[in-house]
Amino acid sequence: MSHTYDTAHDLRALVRDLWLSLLPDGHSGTFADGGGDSLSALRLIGAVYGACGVRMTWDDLGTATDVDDFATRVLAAVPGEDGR
Amino acid sequence: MREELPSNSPFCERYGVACPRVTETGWRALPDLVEEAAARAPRATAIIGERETTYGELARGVRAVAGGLAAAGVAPGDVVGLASGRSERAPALALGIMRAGAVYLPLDPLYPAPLLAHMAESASVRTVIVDGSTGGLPAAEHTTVDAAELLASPSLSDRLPGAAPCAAAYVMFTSGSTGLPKGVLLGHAGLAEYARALPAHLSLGGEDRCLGVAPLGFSSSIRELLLPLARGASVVVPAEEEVRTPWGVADLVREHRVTHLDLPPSYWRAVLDAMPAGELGEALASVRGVLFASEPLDVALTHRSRPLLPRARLWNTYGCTETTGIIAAHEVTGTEPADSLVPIGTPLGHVSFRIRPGDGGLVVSGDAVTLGYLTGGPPPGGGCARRRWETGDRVTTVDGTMVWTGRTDRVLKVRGMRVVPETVEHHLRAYPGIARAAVVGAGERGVACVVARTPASAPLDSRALTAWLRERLPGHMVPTVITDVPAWPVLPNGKTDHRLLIARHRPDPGQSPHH
Repeated sequence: MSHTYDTAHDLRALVRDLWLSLLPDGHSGTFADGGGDSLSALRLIGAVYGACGVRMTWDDLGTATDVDDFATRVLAAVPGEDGR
Repeated sequence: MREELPSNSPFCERYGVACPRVTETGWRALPDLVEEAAARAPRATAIIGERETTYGELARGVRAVAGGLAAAGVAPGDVVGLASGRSERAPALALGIMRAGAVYLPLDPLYPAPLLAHMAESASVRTVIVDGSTGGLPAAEHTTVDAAELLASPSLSDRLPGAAPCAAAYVMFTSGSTGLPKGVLLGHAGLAEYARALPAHLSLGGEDRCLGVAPLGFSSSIRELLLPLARGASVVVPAEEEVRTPWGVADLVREHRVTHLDLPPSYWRAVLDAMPAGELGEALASVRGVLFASEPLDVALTHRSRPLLPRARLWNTYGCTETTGIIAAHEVTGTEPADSLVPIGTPLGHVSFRIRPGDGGLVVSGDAVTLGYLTGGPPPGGGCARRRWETGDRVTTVDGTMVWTGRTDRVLKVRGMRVVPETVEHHLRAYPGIARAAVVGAGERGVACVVARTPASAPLDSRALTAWLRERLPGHMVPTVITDVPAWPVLPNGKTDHRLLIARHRPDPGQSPHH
């Protein structure tokens, strides 16, 4: 039996998991709203790089309105994903 | 040959203490050491940032800044603020302030506006050099000078007297126990000794390229941005964006063939966690020395580092803001016991150590010890007196090298930056609805606190509370965990039972989501 993965959904869930592992209070709002600091940002951007191979920037993270917005930006940066 | 002259040191005048100016043959302040390096190799690269600066350009910049400040009415002993982030211009601006005989005060625009205002006010800053944004620094109390215009000023250094050894070179603000940070005054003599001792210990030379990641408002920036310049080495200045991505430092090392890294262990651990080992090892192939500073280094991290840096020497170092920086170092041998902290080593030679019998408290003496706090009055005997500093750290000696065993007070560190729990607690208690507050520990992410509300107060809005604290505390001191407890444990004398609170609520100190 085969299983078709929804890669966009999986990546979005992955980014959300990474975000919330660093910011337990980060369910809504920006990275800074959730208590994110420079080391958390380094870890999150690094974890995304390790998992997806894309280099997100501090600006990508700092201007994201919430975790879903950041996940959308990650998906848009991953080759073959359209972020939707 | 040693000549003692009557003092005109503003520091001594300010505090009304006897403080002879000591002129000794061979005495050179840090700006003089940099100018000497520039005279030896004016075309050598001094600074690598958005553009490269040669030693000749750096020396001209230092003299221009000094001349421009003097022309603007800055007198020796005045505190001059530098509102700037890390940049390739920062070394010339900081050294130029010192060359003018003034006292350098970094005002990092990333700090909260009320904190910047407090720093500028308590240091009696009348002149601020602005390079980019001032952040939230109020403009009313001082005149501002544009950094680019200052660097283009005519050089007037021949008319400048140079720095006296007793005089203050810079001031750094560090956590205070009263809710506000304290300005720590550091002297020229100690800074010059440091600039000789540490680079010599690391065997830095003209071929070396050094890179660190400390913000300008953190005392490590003195070491990272200025000290290599006293030995003719190059300083690679990363942009903020490069420091905030795990590949930023690796890319810079590869691009500029960096030879020495200066990093807090927590930062290095985050880079190791994020980067594929092969990619990181390849990027760091030119590194031949890594200096770990600002927080305890565990042996496990050195074991992870060694395969990536087979050619590099690794040092664990120890120092404080009040000692002008690093005063002891231990070169990692690889034979340190597993599951332990790497020793902090032995004194570098420019200070003397004494381990207090009984509690093992480490006491340091020498010119590198602070001249005093801005608000704390003069040190006994004035700025030229032999000074000693009780570090608050406890150490023990094992096989002739010191091992850090803890603190004699409650001070904590977060990512290498000092946290005085009383400061955090002061601001928490000032928040509407909070009656009691206690810091119960710190992990890599930050400080954990426990609070108790006043009777009948509404549940806390953690977002609003965090935002309120961010306006009053540096980022590393804003709690990442705040636990609201219904019952506050007290001792029979009515004071908070910190031991019980810590036992119940202390975070795992090595807590990291990727371990």
